[in-house]
Amino acid sequence: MSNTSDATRVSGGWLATLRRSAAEETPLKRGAVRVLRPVVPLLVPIALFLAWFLVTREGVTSPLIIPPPEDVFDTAVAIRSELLSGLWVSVQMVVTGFLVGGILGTLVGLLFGYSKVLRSLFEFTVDVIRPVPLFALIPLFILWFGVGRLPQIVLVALGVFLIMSLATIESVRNVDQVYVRAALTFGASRQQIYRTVVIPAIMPMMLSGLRYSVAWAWGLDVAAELIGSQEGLGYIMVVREQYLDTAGIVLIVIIFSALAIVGDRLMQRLALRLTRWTGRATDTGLIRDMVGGARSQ
Amino acid sequence: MAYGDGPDILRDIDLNVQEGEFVSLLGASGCGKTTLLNLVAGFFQPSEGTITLNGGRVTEPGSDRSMVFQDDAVFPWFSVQKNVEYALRIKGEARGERQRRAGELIDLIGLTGRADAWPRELSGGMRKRVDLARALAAEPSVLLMDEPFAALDALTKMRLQMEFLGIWERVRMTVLFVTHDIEEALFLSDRVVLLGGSPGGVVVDLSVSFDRPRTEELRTATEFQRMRAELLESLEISGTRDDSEEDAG
Repeated sequence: MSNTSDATRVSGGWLATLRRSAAEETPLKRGAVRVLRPVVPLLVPIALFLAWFLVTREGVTSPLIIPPPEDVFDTAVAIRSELLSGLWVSVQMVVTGFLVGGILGTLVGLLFGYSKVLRSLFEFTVDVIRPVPLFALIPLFILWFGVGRLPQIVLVALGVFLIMSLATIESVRNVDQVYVRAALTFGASRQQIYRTVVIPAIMPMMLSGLRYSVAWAWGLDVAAELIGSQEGLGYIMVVREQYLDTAGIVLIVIIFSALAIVGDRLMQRLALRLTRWTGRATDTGLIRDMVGGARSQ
Repeated sequence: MAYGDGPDILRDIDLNVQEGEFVSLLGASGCGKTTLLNLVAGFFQPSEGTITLNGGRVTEPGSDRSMVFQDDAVFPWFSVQKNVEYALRIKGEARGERQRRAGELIDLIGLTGRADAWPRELSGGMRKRVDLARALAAEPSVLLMDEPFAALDALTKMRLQMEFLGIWERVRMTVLFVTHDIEEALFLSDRVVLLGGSPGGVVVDLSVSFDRPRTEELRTATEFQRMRAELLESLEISGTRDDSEEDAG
């Protein structure tokens, strides 16, 4: 191993030095690291896929229980137009519910922090509503809003609303006082303090809340669609179940998962862009090794 | 002064500070020095008595009394430049003027070229200087400082005291400086007010007339050491609690 900590290295900044000293151990090892690094995260999925492929070979399991990958692919080709329109409907419902719930939840959370009157008026009621199991409301929503798209949208919106209002209230409560006091000594008004201190300070926690909400939004949508829907991916899933078409069900599970992952990654990107000041994106070294950090790729 | 129905924290404080005077409020933990500073800042109202500044009564925080805190209060979500501009932005100054004044202050604190850095990229001492520049940008009538250097290591602390003294000797604004460090109080101030007792009151009001600009040699001068010993003695007599070495005010 070559010594990489000589003084000349400092010229590139300590960060660059750290990165280089991690990668520059020997030329051979460096080459191996460069080639293997992008492959490592794929090892487990590849192994799982192989296991799936092997297990579904002739006679090991029934295709009714675990359909082989090629059946899933064939189904995708066969029902592709139906899938696309279902996908479009589900995405619309989730996005609408997410936006409505997210915006209202954030606004209510901010108003709670801002106004003592609103807080004392609504805090108790919101605390009582919060633990109600959302899935239990689905039949009620179907009775109230019919079997169209509305019950799904309302359910998603309500779930996201509860998560975001709670995240906002908690994060506003946790804003370090010293920043508020500093802003006060510069003569900042309540509105100015909200704009220049509270909102930037709560941004990291709000974005975690949004990421969490994305996952919940898909889950709530699937549940609502399974129980009462005439269109959307969940509805197609119910139909496939009636035909005992396990491959079709697996296909839609895969599509739902892919959508949830895409949503999650989008939120992650947004978080990294909006909270560069926290430095999470550039954490390196031992601490990140131990507790993980935001993925930077 | 008392919090709610609690016991009195400060009593019979009659303190006049002249314009351009550098006054240190010295005292052990729990003597009420930070409470007094918070009252001047307007964070709360005295239960009895009044605080006046330039003839007007202090009732709420305002930009004529900006404050440098012991804790790191630089906004981590703004760049150095935007932190220093903060007070001017609150006042509604035009962008060009804001940038020009902030630029001058960044030069003054020796952070030229680091205007676009995030606070997390700076050392604790540098962040303290940004905090100071941000407070100076408000052009306050009184600069309030609440143990601003207490959380720093000894060497950084001495260097910042010296730098701050250099800056102050140029701008000469009124300063109320809370500290529990006798040497710091003597080294920086024109006047040291020792608070003590329970409820707290003024124990010693000492005029410190060493020549300015002051240099590091002053710290070891005979007269400086004599005053230091004298203040230490008064501080020990007036100590309100056993844990008087503790950091918190």
